[in-house]
Amino acid sequence: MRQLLRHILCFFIIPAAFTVAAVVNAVAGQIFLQDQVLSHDTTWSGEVVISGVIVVGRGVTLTIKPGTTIRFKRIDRNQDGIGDSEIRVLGRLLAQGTAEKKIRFVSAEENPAPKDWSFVLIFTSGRINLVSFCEFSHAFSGLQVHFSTAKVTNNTFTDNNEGLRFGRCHLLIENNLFRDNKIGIRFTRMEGPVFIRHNEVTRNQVGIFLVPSGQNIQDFFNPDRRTPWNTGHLTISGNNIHANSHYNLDLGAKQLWDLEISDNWWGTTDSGRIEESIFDRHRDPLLGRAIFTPFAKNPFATAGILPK
Amino acid sequence: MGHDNKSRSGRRFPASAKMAFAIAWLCCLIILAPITARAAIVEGIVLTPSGPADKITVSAAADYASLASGIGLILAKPTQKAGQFRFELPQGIYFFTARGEKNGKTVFAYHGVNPVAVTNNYLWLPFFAVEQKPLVLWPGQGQGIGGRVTYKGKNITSGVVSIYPAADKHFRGMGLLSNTIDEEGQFWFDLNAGTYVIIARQRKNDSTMGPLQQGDLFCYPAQNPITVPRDNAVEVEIPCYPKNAISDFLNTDTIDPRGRREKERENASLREIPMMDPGIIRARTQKLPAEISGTVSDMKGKPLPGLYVIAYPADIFPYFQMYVVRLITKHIVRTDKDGHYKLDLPGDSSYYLITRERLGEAPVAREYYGLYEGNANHRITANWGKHQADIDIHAARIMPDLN
Repeated sequence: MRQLLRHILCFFIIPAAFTVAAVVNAVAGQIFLQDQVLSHDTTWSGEVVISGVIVVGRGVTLTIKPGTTIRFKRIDRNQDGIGDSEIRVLGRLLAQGTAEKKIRFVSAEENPAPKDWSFVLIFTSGRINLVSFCEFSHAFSGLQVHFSTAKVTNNTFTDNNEGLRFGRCHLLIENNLFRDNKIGIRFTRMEGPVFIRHNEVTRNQVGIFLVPSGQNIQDFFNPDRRTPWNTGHLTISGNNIHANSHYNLDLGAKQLWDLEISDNWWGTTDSGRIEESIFDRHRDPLLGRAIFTPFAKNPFATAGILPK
Repeated sequence: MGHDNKSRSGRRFPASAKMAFAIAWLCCLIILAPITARAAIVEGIVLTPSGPADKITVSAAADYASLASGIGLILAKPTQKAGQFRFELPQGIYFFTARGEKNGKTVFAYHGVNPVAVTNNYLWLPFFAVEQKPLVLWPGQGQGIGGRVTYKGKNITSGVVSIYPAADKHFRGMGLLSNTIDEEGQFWFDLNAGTYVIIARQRKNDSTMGPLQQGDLFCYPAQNPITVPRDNAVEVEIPCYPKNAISDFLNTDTIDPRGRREKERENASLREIPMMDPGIIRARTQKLPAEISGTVSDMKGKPLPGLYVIAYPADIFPYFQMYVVRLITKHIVRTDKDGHYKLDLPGDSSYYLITRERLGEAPVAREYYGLYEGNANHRITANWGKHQADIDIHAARIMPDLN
């Protein structure tokens, strides 16, 4: 009987496009996935539970329907204190929810905590990935983008170790909410083109954290401080970056280059208080300088998730 | 008969028994001869900038794990000459370290050529030992390793510090992470909690790659491998010595101990020993290697010639992480005109397989790039004497324009 029910679910209830091997929990109606490579275009809807690493193969598109919830089980195979469940996208991710029906990437644990699961990782993808109206919580990093291209808009990143991390990539980060994470946005390269605009970054320990990549840094060279290093590559403007408990902006160790970060709202019009909320050369002479002037005199109404 | 051949019991042996005994003795000689031939004499001296070290302990370990644990070490015998030692070792590959004292301070040396191939009947192995400072733990000050690199007590302000997994076999190349020493002579690595080996090098020609040349600095702290506890910063001083440059190493008021020895004894000079690639040694002694082959193609099935297929060792890190593709590997081959590749590998080991257009830098926009997708861990296992075919990889151009 259980076998029959499983077949019925597999062939009639689960969308036909969902072609990978999956174990269906007949009681809860969830799709339960373990380590596997999706080798055909796949669509998820309803409840998906992941225990392990799901690879979206190169050339494959994973489409996630609005209203879908993806739950990640906490497993820690390498005993590093970070849950290992992950979606690794080599192909293409289309996770486009709506304002009414968001897509949720959450912990499957009864008492969820940051680092319960690893991340949605878009890695060496050859397509444009779209992530919108999604919620990410209790991850090590909600979303990571490396050597890939993505548009990340109208998403919520809360209660993660890091909301969003990126390295070398082409990336639009627009109208997102980063709140109650240890780090809101962390990045390691200022190459781009990357646009960080109209986001609400608040109540994190560190709002935005820039730290150089640890990848063979021996070719780092002396900074040219005549021009902020991110000019023409990385735009950070029109954001509300405020009320982050440690720093609104932190230039990590060895971040020697000046960062142009004007035209943002920092929670105050007092330039001294803005400076106090930024860790840069004024605190450590070896670091670069955060050029935050001119700054906005009022919060941006257009920042954060739209429509409000 | 003037003398009787007697056993210890005084019993006389018949002629036939004598013959049998002689044959048995010959057999023993034949059996034992190769063992005797494989033993090598390793001698050397442990020098400090102030001259030969006192109270030396020189050890040889069959692998780095033994060196780190101190279990199974072979200890050299000191000689009557100051700072000198002597081993009799089976030929093989060893990690050598030396400890001692000088002027009331503890000195240490990890031989920069480690692992050393002991293949000849005689090897002279000098150590340049330097004073060691204790580690300092800083709870709540980050998580990683930082500190300074010194030569003769002063910070050096250029060079490269590299972090290796403790399970690495050779500690060459750029390791897991490499960082430049800053103008203040300091460095820092953010690290996961774990155990690492840290080594610094300073090359006079400002190169960051390749073997060290005479006078280049090799720097290894005695505390290796270093454990980074969770939420702790580990502060370490890494002292250096110059490769094969004793005149630079010795303080100006120290008598060069070579002098008479170098003239009197050909094999006892302080010459640098030849460095043999352990891979070559291993290849000579290995059975047939494992082999994998396959085709690299684009998403439409078109073969891609000229791409690199790279196998990264996976036994150290059994789960694929992005940093895996930063590791150093020598298992690299290019696809032929039909997109085919064939890669020989040491057997009974696992590897992460990727393919790409470029080597030596992070992936760039529009580069062909692909990971093996036979499983979610991108991993293959190479078995001794086995050939695995059809290990195919798909590649695509990555990072399209945003619009």
